[in-house]
Amino acid sequence: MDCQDVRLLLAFQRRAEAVEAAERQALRRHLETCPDCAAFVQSEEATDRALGAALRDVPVPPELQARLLERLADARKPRWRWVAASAAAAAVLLLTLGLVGYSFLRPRPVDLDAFAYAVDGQARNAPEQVEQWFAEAGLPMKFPPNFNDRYLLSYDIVQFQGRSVPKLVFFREGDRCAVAQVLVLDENRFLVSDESGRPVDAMQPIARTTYNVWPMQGQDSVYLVYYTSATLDPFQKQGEF
Amino acid sequence: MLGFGRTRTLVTDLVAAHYASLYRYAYRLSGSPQEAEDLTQETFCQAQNKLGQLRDGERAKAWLFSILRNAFLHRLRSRKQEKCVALESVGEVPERLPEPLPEVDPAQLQQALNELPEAFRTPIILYYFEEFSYKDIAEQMSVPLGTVMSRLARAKAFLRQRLMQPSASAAPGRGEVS
Repeated sequence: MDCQDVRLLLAFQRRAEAVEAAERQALRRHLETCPDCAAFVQSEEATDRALGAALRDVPVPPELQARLLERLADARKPRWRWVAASAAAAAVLLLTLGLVGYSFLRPRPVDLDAFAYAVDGQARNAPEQVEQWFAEAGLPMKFPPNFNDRYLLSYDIVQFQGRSVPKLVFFREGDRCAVAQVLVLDENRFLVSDESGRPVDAMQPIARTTYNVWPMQGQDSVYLVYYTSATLDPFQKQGEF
Repeated sequence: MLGFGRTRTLVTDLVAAHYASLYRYAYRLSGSPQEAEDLTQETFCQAQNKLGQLRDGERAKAWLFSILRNAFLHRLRSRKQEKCVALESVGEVPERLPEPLPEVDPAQLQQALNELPEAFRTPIILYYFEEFSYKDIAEQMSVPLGTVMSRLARAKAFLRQRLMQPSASAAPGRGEVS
């Protein structure tokens, strides 16, 4: 260990943690034999004492502790106001949810006039009105071709095989009244073919006991019609019943 | 989560035990009594909000000093430039036996501290507050032990050099943070 090493270690010699036991022994031996380094130690210790005392000599404001505690107490107060405000907000939210829930769950009186008006309001609407209604509902469609809008009873959106589709209901009054319900299927969303894979425009009506089904090819869509009359003639523009 | 009463008691105890040393540390860091009080207040406010983080009461002082230093660094970053001297020319070890330090002028000492980059100012302050070991300082600053010792040596040498100058003389040339 030479003097350079010693002075580097001695710069903070009082901190024993930085000097290992073996080094401390070497240091002590060196200091016993080197007056220059011994004087250096004394000088460093004096510097440490002077600097340390000067750095610690900071007057602390007399009322500092009281001010700190006062402001800390103030800082704790808003917490309670926050808790109270949160509790109030939570109570209002629960009350609102309760009222909304009640309004949904309680039995509602049926307004028969409103129902009749809504249904009657749809009956015999022009094709353009029907198309606009479905377009605004996000399901653009074309009114079934050749169907007479005089016999249009109602129209709505229904679920068909997991998808929302337009549905129109046509009604012919008379001694042999008939009903035709038309689902408008978008060809991009539904694939319509018969058992042998024939496309729609080649398909014929499928007879059933209480209704007939006829997929009719439209423009970009298929009209799935099920009807109670023998043919679709009663619902056509030129049809006679 | 601590109850309201327990929080108040703990905070009161922390303030009583450490407010003076925190204030002195803040003063030496900032050089301003007003800023020192603001930093001390901010430290205790943060500590009050984070009391759950303090698991070992014996580490309270180191924890508080760490909060204060971070608060100071945050303020420092928002300032445009820290005007400090470069310490490359200051050696770690005196080439010859240094002369005894004259009586330290408090204003000159703070001026010299203000000229030190924060990375050197913090370890020298923490060192002379005695309660902090090299390991504590290294943990506070997230630097290796060797770096702490090197910075301490340079900072001490710089302070000695400045304090040896008459207090009316011009300060060394100012430069960028080293």
